[in-house]
Formats: sequence, C-alpha cells, structure tokens
Amino acid sequence: MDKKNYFLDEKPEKLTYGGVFRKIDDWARARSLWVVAYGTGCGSIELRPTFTSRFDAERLGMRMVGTPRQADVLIISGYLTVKTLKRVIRVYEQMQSPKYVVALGACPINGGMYYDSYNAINQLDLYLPVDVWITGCMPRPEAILAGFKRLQELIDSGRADGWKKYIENLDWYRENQRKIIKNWKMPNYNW
Amino acid sequence: MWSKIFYAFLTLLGGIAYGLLLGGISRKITARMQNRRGPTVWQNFIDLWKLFRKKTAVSHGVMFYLAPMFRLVGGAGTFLLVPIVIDSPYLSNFSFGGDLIVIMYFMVLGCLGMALGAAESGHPHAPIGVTRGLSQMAGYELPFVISVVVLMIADKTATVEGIVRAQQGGILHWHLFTHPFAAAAAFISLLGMMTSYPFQVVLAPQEIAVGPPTEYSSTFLSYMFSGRSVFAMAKYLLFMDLFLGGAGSLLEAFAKTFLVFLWPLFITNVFPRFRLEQSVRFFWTWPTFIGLVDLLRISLMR
Amino acid sequence: MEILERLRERFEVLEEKVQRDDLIFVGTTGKNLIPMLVYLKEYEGFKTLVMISCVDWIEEGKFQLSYNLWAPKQKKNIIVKVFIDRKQPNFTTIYRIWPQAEVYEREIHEMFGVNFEGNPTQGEELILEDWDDIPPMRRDFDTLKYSMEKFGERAPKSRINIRREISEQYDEWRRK
Repeated sequence: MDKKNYFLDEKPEKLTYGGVFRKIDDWARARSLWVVAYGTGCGSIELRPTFTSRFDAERLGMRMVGTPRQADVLIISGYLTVKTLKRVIRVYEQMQSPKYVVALGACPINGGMYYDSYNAINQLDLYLPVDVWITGCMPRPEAILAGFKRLQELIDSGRADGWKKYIENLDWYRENQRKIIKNWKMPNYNW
Repeated sequence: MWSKIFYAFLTLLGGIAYGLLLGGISRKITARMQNRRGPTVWQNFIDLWKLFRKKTAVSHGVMFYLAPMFRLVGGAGTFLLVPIVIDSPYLSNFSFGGDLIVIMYFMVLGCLGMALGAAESGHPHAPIGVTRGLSQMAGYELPFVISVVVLMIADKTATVEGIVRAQQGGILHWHLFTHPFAAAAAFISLLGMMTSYPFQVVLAPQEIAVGPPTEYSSTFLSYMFSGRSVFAMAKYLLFMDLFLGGAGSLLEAFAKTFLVFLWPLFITNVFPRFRLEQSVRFFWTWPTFIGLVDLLRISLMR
Repeated sequence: MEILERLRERFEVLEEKVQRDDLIFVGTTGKNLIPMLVYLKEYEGFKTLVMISCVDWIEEGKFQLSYNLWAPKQKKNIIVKVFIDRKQPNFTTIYRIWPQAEVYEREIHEMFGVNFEGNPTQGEELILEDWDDIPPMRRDFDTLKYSMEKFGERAPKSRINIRREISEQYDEWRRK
C-alpha cells in the first residue's frame, strides 16, 4: 500500500464542538480520561504510584493506554528535550480530539533546573497548548491527582479548550516548533 | 416473525448493557482485590459514550472500517443463536437444529474480521497481536470442541436447546456433574476465550501495547468495545446452557451467567502471564487429555 | 602493585596513581594505548570496557580520554588515561577490541567533537538531533546564551495569567 495513506497530510478542518449532547459529552469526557503511557522525563516515575494501588487514579475513571490513538490526555512529565519534543508533537497530533495536555513539574513551565541547558526547552506552551500545569520538582502523586481533579473541573465546565486553540493557531505553533526543530522530517499534519 | 426480530433486538441491547455492567463489576472486584477503591461499576458505559462521541480522523482503507463491524456482528450473531431462557417465546432467540456447530463457527468470525482490519492498519504491533490471537485460538478450540462433542454424543443432539432439555430435573443432572471431565476441559478453555490472565497473550500490555486495536480510535473502538462485551455475554450464556442446565427464568439466567463470569475473573486476578507457546502447549496437553477421558468414557459406555 | 610493574616493563607509563585497592589510574601516550588495552584484556583479565569518558582541559589545550576497564575475576578497576591535542582532536577507534566502544565514541564525538578514525557510525546523531553549534560539552560553549537564544527567555516566575499571555501572543503574531 502507498505509504502516504497512513497519515493525513492536510490541515484539519475547523472542528465543530457542541450540539445537543454537549453537556453529556463534557460530563462523560471528564470522567473517562485515558492517559497515553508516554513518559518524557523524570516525572513519569511519579505516575506509576499514581496509577497503581497506593493512589489509585482509576477511581477517577482514568486509565493508561498504550497508544495515542485511543488516548485523551498527554502528560508532559518533566523536562522536554528537542529530540523528545519531536516525538511529543507527533504523539499529540495522532491523538483524536478532544484532547488535553497536562504539564508536570517545573521544567515545562520555565525550564526549571535545566533553564540553561543546551537541550531542554524553556516554555512548553510555545509549542503545545497546555490545559493544566502542576508545579513541583517533582510533584507528589497527591499533587498530580489534584491536577487531574482540576482538569476534570475544566472539562466539565467546557473550559479545557487547548485542542481548539491549537487548531486555530496552528501556524503560530508550527512557526515556534520549526524554530527549534531544524530538520522537519515529519508530515505536515498527521492526525 | 417481526415481533421475534424486535425482541431479539431488545435482547441484544440488554446483552450489551449487561456485558458492560459485568465488565464494570470485574474492574471493581479487581480493584478491591488489589486493595484500592476502583472505578464505579458504570465506568464502561461512560467510556463507551466518550469513545462514541470522539472525533475520528484516521483512514487506513475499507477493511479497517469493516473490522469493528465484523467484531460486533460476530458477537451479536453468537449471542442471538444462544437461547437465554428455554421455553420462552421471547428470550430463546434464533435457536435451531444443529445450531451448536454454527455457534462454533460464529465465534471465529469476529477474530478473523479483527485480523483483516488490524493487518490493514499497518501498525507493527497489530499483526503480532493477531498472530498471537489466532495461535491462541487454535490452542483453546481443541479442548472446547472435544467437550462439546462429548455433550453431543451423550445427548444425541446438536442443538443447544436439546442439550438444555437433557439437563432438566435437578442440579445433579447438570452436565457439570454428569460429565465433569468435559466440563473441566471446557471451563479451562473458557479462560483462553476470555483472554483472562494466564492466557493473556493477545493484548499483552507489557509487550505489544494494546495489540490488534493499536490504530483503532474513538468510534471504531466503541463498536469493538460493545462487540467484545456482547461476545463475552454470548460465551457466558453458552456455558450456562451447556453445563449449568440452562435457565428457566430471566432471574436464573442472570444468576448463572454471573457464576460463569466469576470463574475467569478470579483466575485472572491471581495469576501471572504465560508466553504464547507455553499457553498453546498448556491447552493442547492438560485440558485436551481431561476432555479425552470423558470422550473415551462416553464411547465405551455406548 | 604488581600490575603496575608489569605495565611499566612493557609500556611507557606517564603517570600512575593507586586510588584504592581496586582502582588504579594509569596515564600513557596515544601510541601505547591500543597495545596496552589489548595486553590488559588478554593477559591481565580486564575483560570488560565499562565506559569511555572525556575531559576538556581547556587551559592546557588538551582532551583527556579515560578508558575504564573492569576485571571480573580480580574485581578490580583500571582507568587508562590518554591526552590528545585539543586543536586537532583525532584519535583511533577501539571498537575492534570492544564492540560497545562504538557507541561511547559516537557520543564523545557528538559532545566534544573528538574524531575517532575508523568508527563506522561516527557522525550519526545519537542524542542531539539537528545540532547547529560547536559541540556542547566543550568548555568554551556558552550554554546559557545558547539556551536563551534558542528556547527563549526563562519565563516569568508567576504564571497565573498564563492563558491570557499566550493568547496575546497569538494576536500579536496575527497582526504581523
């Protein structure tokens, strides 16, 4: 089969969102967050206790899934290098909207302890839309759970709209991304 | 005729709902066994709604779209052939002469559709999962067929209804007690059918992420989700009819399917996982020989 | 240490230091390095290459390469040091003695710009994709300046109004 068929290389149309079921949709989305099991940095070590017996995020309806196609939430767990950012962008664009991004720790906010690193980015929201920030280095699982609760509230009230912002301002995000990813060997759009 | 189709449709919806509820209960019980609270028992309904209403923007070809439908139709077909309540005009579904053989064919259909669709999705994990699933199927089909053949010979019938009628008249007439070896073989192969944990080689989250449905998203996944739950329901009902004496009322059907549902659940929570070749080797030795004992017994007694 | 005497007999040993009972430092010249490593591997039982590391001595104009070896039977480490010129950092690969050295040398090439002749994967990207400056672990590389230029200023400490801030940036960009 033609390789081109495996991803869509065209700009996504403007998404309509809402309709009759909007209230039910938001309610269901808030209570069934599937997290893509992809750890970008040191913070993913805190996600294991969050999702297993001790802190049990499953009672909030959350689950880890192994593929971006089925996931709703992308967790940027800690510092993000340029090499990882490339993969993160692909993962984010392969997720089906509505989708949400949670940034974990100090590094995605302002570079954290890697603010002068030659390889870690300083501000995540220049490259991806972030819905919830969780501070700390690293945040404890309690803080992560609190962040997820906040995300649920935002979704419930229809304010977690980062994925819409991303599509509307895609060119702005692309310009920022291409500024640090010099060799763009990816399809233009791959969702 | 039309009323029968209408009632079959209603039973199908009921089957999906009960299957989803059982899935939620199993998640709750698993959570309790791991000493945590777990999600609500309605979690699967919420997941299903969310998946159904998500945007789908992936295209991989025609077979990719058809595969979840195959899965759903395979599950629904199996479900509709198994009588739920015997002697009831509404709940006996489309049971007919020789239907046990058709049921066994239908059980394969969903897997085959899934295999075609997953192969077209182009993700490397998908063919690995499909290969594992089909090999596993070759493993558990053998003991299951042997035990079904034992029941067919014993009752001289090839319908589920006939087998249920042969078990009427008290708990000791159940095939679970009259043919214990065949029942044991079939219940072990049920573990393989439900891909419960010692035989969890298809999805195998530690190795191949989610296996065959890796590329499937949103609405497709919701079809697969409901297909899986109705398929599981069909298997519980089939085992209830074959070994637990069928059901005389809807309440009895609920209770007995719940009993069948508990068996793979409790096994799945206490065992680690086999590799593929270990799993197939297990199915071709122990349950097969246990089933052969009853087959030999039946043949000699005739 | 007997092993030091045996090494002194056979090779030119520039410096030596016994750090602990099980850890010895030996300095040698570039010419003697490969014979010494082969001798240590085949005759003295230092069968494992633990790692290769590099140090930038910018004041002396030298790179120091350290080859860390481990002898499983004697439970001993030896670190063989060799200095090369910083202006022309060329050296020979040792991946024919230990195949795993290939990756270490590739990383050192990426981080310090040391050129290992004969290494088959030399120059392929390991960690730094699309690198556009001098190798980052050299001491004359200003990492803070580079970070500021490429990834922008460190964001303000209070980010309560973060959503508004980003949407202002969208608008600004659209006006352009």
